[in-house]
Amino acid sequence: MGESGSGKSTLAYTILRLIPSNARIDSGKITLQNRSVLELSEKEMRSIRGREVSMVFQDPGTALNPVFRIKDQVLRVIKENIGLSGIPARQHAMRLMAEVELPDPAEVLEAFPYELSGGMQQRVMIAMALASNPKLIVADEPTSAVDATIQTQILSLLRKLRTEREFSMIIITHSIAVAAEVCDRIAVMYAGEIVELGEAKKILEYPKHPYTEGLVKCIPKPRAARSPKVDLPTVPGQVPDLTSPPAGCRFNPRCPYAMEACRKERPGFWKAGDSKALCHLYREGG
Amino acid sequence: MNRVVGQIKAVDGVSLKVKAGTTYGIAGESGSGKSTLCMCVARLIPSTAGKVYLDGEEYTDAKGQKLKKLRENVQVVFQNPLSSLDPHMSVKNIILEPARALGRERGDDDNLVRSLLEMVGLSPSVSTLYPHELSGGMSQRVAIARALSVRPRLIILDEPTSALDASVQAQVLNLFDRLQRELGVTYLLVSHDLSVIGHICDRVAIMYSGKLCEDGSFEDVFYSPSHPYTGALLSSAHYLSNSLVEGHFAPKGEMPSQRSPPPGCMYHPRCSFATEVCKQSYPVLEEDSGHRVACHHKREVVGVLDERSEGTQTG
Repeated sequence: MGESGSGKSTLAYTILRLIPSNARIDSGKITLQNRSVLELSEKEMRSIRGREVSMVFQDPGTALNPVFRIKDQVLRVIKENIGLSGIPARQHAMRLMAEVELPDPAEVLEAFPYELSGGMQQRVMIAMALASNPKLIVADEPTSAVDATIQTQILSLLRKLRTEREFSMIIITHSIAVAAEVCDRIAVMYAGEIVELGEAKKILEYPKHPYTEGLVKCIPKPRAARSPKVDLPTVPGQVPDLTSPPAGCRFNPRCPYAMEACRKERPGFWKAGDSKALCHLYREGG
Repeated sequence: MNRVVGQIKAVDGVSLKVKAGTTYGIAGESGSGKSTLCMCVARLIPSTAGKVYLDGEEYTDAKGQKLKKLRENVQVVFQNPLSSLDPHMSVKNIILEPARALGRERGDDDNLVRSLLEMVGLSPSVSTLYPHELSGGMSQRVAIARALSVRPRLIILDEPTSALDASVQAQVLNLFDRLQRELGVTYLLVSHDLSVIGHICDRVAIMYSGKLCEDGSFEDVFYSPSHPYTGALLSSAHYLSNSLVEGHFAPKGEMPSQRSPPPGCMYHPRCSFATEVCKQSYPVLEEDSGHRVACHHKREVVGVLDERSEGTQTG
C-alpha cells in the first residue's frame, strides 16, 4: 500500500521481473517457492508468468484489447498458459466466467470490452488471471477504476476466490481502507521503502510509523450527528523527489515526531509492537 | 445521417434548493446522473426540461450578458486536474482565463494571480509552471484558484478529490472548508464516496439511475437513512470506524442499462427489500420535515437500521 511515487507498483512488477528497460535490480532476493527468481532465465520467467503467478492489471478498460471479443482474449490466455483449445478451452472459459460471478457467461464471452461495465471488465480480468490456477496473483489497483458498491463486490469476490482456491495474493493499492478490507498483512510504502509491515487490523488500529498514523488519521469520515465540521489532520508537505531524497529518514521533513537522529541516520526496520517499522522511535535498545 | 432510436433520461425529475454558504452533496455512482445534473445547473450542457434559478432569478435560457453573469457566479472544479487544465497554458494564464473570457480583466493580473495562489496554499512561483510540472494536488489547487478568480457564488465540485492520494485529499478538503468560511462560497459537491460527503456536506441528495432516491440534511441521510440504496452506499464507504449499516443492504448485480429501464422503481432489481409493488409502480418522493425519500418500503428500511444502530458508536 502506498501513495503515488511510493514504489508499490514497481515493487510488485519487479517480483515478476517486469521492469522497464531503464531500470535495474541492484541487490536483494526474490524467492518463489524456494526458487530464486533473480537467477532464473527469461525463458523460465515466461513459464512462470501467467501460470504460477498471474497478474490482474489496473484499469481493465485499457488492459483489455478493444478490438477483440472477450472470448478471443480469454481463450488466448487459456491456450498460452495451460495449452487447452477447442471445446475443453471453451468449457474452461465458461467455468471461469461463472466463478467470477458474471451473470451471463455466454453473452459476456461474445461481447467486446466496451460493451461491458467497469465492474464486469474487472471480473473478466480476474477470470483471466485464474485460468492457470496460479499459486500467486498480483492485483494492481483492482478497484480503482470502479464505483463504491462495485468495489465492495470485487473485494468480496477476491476474498471468496482466495478462500476457495487457496492462492496467495499481493494487492497493490493507494487506499489503506481497501488494503484493510481484503488483506491479512499490509506493507506500507513511502518514497521507495517499506516503512511499516504487519497484520492489517493491527496496522489500522495501532499504526506505528508516523506516516501510517498520518494516513489513517487523514481519511475523511462522516462527522457525528449535529457536530461541527472540523479540519482533517493531514500529513503536511509533499512526497520527496527521489532523485535527491532527504538525508536520514526519508519521511523526516514531514514527521511530527522527528528528532535529531532522524535527520542524520537512516532508521532500521525495528520491531514496533506487533508490527515492524522503519523508524527511530522504535530503535532497539532505546 | 442520424436517426433517434430512443432516449435515455440521464436526469429525471430531480429538484434541489441549495442554501447560500452551505455545501450540498450529491452522492451516487457512475450513471446516476449526478455529473449531468451539475453540468445542467452550470448551463454547460442544455437541459431538455426544468429551470435553474440563482438568488431567485431564472437563468435557464440565459444568453449573452445574462449568461456571462451566470458564468461569473457558477464555476466548476472537475475530477481530473490533468485533463481540465490546458497543457499549453502556464498556471498564470490558466487562472486568468475565466476573467478574460468574461471580460472582467482589471489590469492587475499579477496581483490577482498571486493572491489566488496564496488563497489555495501555493507559492507565487507556481504561476510560471505548466500543468505537466505540477503534482495531482497542486493541479487541483490551480483548478480551484481558477474557479475562484471570478468570485463565484457557487462552485460545483465534480469528484474533486477522487483522483488524489489520501494525504493530498485531506489537504484539499481542508482547503474547501477554509475557503467557505473565509469567502462564504456555496458548494455543490458530487461524489461517489460517502466518507467525503459525510465529512463536509450540510445537505445530501442520493441519486440512482437519473432519479432522486433520498434527500435531506446530513443527519437525516446518514443517521436516519430510509432508502435501501442509501444503505448500500453507506455500507460500501470505507469507514475505519464502525459502519452504520452492514450486509443487509449489499446490492445485487449492477446498475441496469438505462436504455431499457426496469418498470417500477429503478432500483428494484438490486434491492433486497423489493416486492411486487416495487416492480409495478414507481415510488413517489415523499417529504417529512425536509427529508425526502422515494421508496415503497422506507418504513421497513428505517426499522432495520434502528435495530442495527442500537449500541453502535456514532462519530
